[in-house]
Amino acid sequence: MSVPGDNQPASGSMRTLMIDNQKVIDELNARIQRRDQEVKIIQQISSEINSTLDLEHMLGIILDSLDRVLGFKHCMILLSDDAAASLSVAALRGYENQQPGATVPVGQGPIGVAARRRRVVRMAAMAAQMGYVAAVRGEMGHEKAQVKLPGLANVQSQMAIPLVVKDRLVGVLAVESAAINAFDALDELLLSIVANQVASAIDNARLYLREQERSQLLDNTNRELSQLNETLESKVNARTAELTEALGDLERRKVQHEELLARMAPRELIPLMVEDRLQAVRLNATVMFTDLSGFTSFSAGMEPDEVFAHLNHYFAWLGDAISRYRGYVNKTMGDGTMILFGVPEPSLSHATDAVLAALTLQSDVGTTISLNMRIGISSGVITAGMLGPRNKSMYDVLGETVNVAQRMESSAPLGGIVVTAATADLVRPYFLLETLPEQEIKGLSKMTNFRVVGLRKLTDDPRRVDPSGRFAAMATPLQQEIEAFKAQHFDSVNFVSIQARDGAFYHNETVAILALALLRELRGHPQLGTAASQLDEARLLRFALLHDIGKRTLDTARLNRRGLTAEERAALRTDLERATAETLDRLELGELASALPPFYRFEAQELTGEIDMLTEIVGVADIYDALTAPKFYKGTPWSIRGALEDMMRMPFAINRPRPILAAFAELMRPAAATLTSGRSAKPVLD
Amino acid sequence: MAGTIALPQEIMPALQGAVPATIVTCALDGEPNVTTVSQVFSVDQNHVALSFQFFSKTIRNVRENPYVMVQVINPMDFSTWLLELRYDRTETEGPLFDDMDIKLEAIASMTGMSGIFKLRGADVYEVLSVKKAPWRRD
Amino acid sequence: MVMLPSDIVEFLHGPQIMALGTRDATLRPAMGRLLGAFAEGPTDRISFFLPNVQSEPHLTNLADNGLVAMTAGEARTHRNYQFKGRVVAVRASTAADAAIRDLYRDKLIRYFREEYFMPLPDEFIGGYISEPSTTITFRVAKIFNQTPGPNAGKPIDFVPAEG
Repeated sequence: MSVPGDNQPASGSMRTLMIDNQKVIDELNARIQRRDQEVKIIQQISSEINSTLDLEHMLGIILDSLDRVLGFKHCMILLSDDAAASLSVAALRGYENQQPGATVPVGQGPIGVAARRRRVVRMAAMAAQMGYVAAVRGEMGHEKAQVKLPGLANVQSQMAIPLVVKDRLVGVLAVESAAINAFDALDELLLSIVANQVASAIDNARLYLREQERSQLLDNTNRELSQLNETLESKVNARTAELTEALGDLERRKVQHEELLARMAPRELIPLMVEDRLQAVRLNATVMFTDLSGFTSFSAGMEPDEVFAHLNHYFAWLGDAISRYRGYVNKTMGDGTMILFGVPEPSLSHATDAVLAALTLQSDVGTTISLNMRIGISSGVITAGMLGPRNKSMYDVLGETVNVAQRMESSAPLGGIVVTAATADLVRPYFLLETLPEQEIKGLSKMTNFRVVGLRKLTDDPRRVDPSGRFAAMATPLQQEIEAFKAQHFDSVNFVSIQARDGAFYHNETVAILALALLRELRGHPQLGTAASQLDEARLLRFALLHDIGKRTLDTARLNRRGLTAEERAALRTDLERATAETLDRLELGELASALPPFYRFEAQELTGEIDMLTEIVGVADIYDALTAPKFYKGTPWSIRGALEDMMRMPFAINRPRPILAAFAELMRPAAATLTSGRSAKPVLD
Repeated sequence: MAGTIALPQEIMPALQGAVPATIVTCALDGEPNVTTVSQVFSVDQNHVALSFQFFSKTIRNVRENPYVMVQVINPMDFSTWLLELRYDRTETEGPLFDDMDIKLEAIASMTGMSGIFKLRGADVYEVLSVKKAPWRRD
Repeated sequence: MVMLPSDIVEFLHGPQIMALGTRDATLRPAMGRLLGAFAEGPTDRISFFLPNVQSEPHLTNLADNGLVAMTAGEARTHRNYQFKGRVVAVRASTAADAAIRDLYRDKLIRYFREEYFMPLPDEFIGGYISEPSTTITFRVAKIFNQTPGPNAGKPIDFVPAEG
C-alpha cells in the first residue's frame, strides 16, 4: 500500500491530462468489473442448476439464484403442456398471493408471445402502452377487455425468455418489475445465457424422471420374472444394462452441456456486440504472439483427433493463464496464438500484464506439453473493431504493432520472450530486461529489442539499494531468506497476481526484507536492543508479507485511482484493513489481525505518541518502499535520500526522537549523503 | 456511419414507450401536422423507428417530405429531447420489424386486440440532430 | 357567427397536454410545448401560450407563413384533437394571460396527481419554464380527431369562417 504516494510530482498539463484519462479509465474499469462479475454469476448459477436432477428442487434453485445472485426479485418458470397450447406456472418467487398452476395461453401477453414466437420479449413500460392500446380499442367501439395473467398486478417491465431445447419449447422463464425500464440489453443477454442452461437442465431432469419411471417399471418386472424362470434372468440383466447405459448416457450429456458452456467464447465481448456498441477504436494496447516450436514434427504420425486433443489441452491451459492476467486470446493459427492486452477496454497494466502472462507461460509450459514456446510482445497504438464481411465479421485488431509483435515472436529464442523498445519502456521498472543486438527486422527498419529475464526484485534495483549504503551488503542474503520463508509458509498465496492488481510488484517481499534488516539492526541498539530481541522474527515476517493482502478482494479500479480525496483515501484504507483481516482469518492467521489497527493508524499518520515496535518497523519499511518503488502512472520514484528525508518530516517524527526511523535511515542512506529534516534544514544525521 | 449524429446513452429511457412521443411533419403543400405516437424505437446509434398500425397524415407527409421533428420524454427525470429526423425507409419484415411486432403483439394480446392492433410497417429515420430541449429547469 | 364546437372548447380548457407544430420556408418542421390555451366567447379563434424560451424558431416560422398546427390531448385516455389555421395576433402575455396560464398549470398538476400513474407530477409539469411567454392567437380552419385508432385524422364537423 502506498499512503504518501499521491505526493508524487507531475507537471501541470500532464496532470490534467492524466486526470481526464483517469476518469475514462476508471469508468472502463468499473465496466470490466461488472462484466467479470456477470461471467462469475453465470458460472455460479450454472453449477448450482446442474447440481440436481430433481425437477422441483431444481426450479427452486434457479429462481433462488435469479433473485439472490442476479437480483431479479419477481420471477417465474412456466412449463409448456404436451400440446404446446398453454403454459403453466411451475415455480415462482417474489409473489405474495399467487400459486403454481396458473396458466398462460400461448400467444397471450409477453410470456405467451415469447412462447409462440420463440423469441425473447423485453417490455419496458407496459402500463402506458396498454393504456394506449386500450384507447385504440375504445375508439374502435369495443368494450374494454383486459386479460388477467399471472404476475404482478402493477407490472411495468417484463422479460420473457423461451426455454427451447432442440427446437422444442420446454417453457418460459419470466422476470418482472413494477419499475419502468427495469431491464436492459445486458440483463437480456445474461438471462438468455442462463435460460439456455435452464432449458437443458429441465430437459435433463424430465428425461431423468422418465428414466426413473422406467427403472421402477423394470424393478417390478424383475420381481415377477425372478419368480418365473431362471432362464429369463439373462434377459432381465440385458435390459438392466440397457437402462444403466441410458442413465450413463444422460450423465455424459449433462457433462457435455457443462463443457460447452465453459468453452463459450469470447464471453467478454458479447454484451458490446449485442448492444452494437462495438465500434472501431484506436487504443494503446499490447499484442502478444506465441508459437509452439516443433509441434508439426511432434504431431507427425498422430491420429487427427489426437493432434486436436493435444492442441486443445494446450490452448485450454494457455487460455487460463492469459485470462488470469486480463488478456484475450483473439485467435489461434495452428499451434500459434495472437493475444491482446488492454482491449476491448483500455487498461493501465496492458504491458506488464502481457509480460507477466508470458513469464507464466514460459515457466509452466512443460507441465502441459513437452515443447518449447516462443513469445513476442509489442505495445503501441492498434485499431480494434469488427472486421470482415457483414454478418461474418469478427472482433480483430489492425496496426503496425500487430505486425511487429509477430516478428518479435519469430525472432525470439526457444523458451524466450522478446519485446519491442516500446514495451520495454513500459515494463522496465518492474522487469529485468536484456538488450539484444540491434537487428534488421524484415520489412522494418533496424530495431533494438529486449529479452525479458524476469521480475525485478529488490536487489536488482540500484535505485532502491544504494551500493554505498550499509544495507547493500546484506540485501542479497536477506532476499534469499525471505524467498525461502515465503516458499515454506505461503506457497498457496500468489503474491505476483495480487501485486499485479496495482503494479506493486515485489512490494510485500521488499517490506519483509527491509523490516528484517531493521529488526536485526535494532538488536544491537543501546536502548532498543532488549525489546528488539524479544520481538518474534517469524511473526514480523508474516505480518510484513501479509500487511495489505486484502488487496486481492478490492476493486482494481479503486486501487489504481489517482487523486483520491482525504475521505476516499481513508475509506480505502479502512476497507483494505477489513479485507486484510478477513484474509488473515482464512489463512488461519487470525492472531495477526490484532496488529492491523495500530499499523493502519500509523499508515494514516494518526499516531504521534507511543508506537509499538512491530508497527513502526513494518510501517517504516512499507512507506519507504511505497515512496521508492515504481508504480503505474507515477513519475520518477523518490530517491533513497529524498524518501528518507520525507519520512523524517512526517507527523510522527516531528519534534520527537524516533530511534527506529533513525536506525533505518542510517542503514539505507548512501554513504556520502547528509540527511536534513526539511524545515529547519538542520542536519539530523551525517 | 462516420460523421453522423449518435444517440447519447442517456436518451435510451425515453425510447421505451413510457410516455407517448409527439411528432411534427409537413406536407409538400406546406401544411404542418402534429400528432402523438406511442413509441419511438431506437434502431442503432443514428437511426430510430416509428411503428404504424394505421395509415395517417403523418405517414403520408413523410413520404412527400422526409424531414420531421420528434419530442420524446425520459420517464425517469422528465428530461425532454428533440430529434430532427429524416425518413429513410419502411420495413415490413426483418429483425427490426419482428422486434417491434413482437412487443406490439405482447401488449395487444393482453387487451383483446390480437390481430386487430397489428404492425403494418416500421418507418426508419436517420437522426439528423438530437438535443435536450431547453424548456425545463434542471 | 362561427363557433368552435362547445365540447371541444371545454376539452381545450381542461388539463390537456398541448403541442405546437410550425414549419420554416424550406418546409422543415419544428415542435413546441404549449402551456395552456383558451377560446373565449363565440369565436373561431384559439389563443395559446408559448414560453419565450421556445419562441424560436416558431415566431420566425409564423412570420414567414402564418401556418399553425396545434394539438391538445388527455394523457390517460389519449383523447386528442388537432387544430390547424393561420396566425392572426402575437403579443407578449399580459397579466390576465399569465393568470390563465398558471390556472392551466395547477389543473394539470392536479390531474396528474389524481388521475395518472406517473410519479412526481409536480416536478414533471412544474419543470417547464413558463415565464415570460408569448400569447399567439390563430383562426381555426380545420379540426381533426387525433385519438389513436382507425379514426385518427378524421375531420370534425366544423364550418370555418369565410376567408
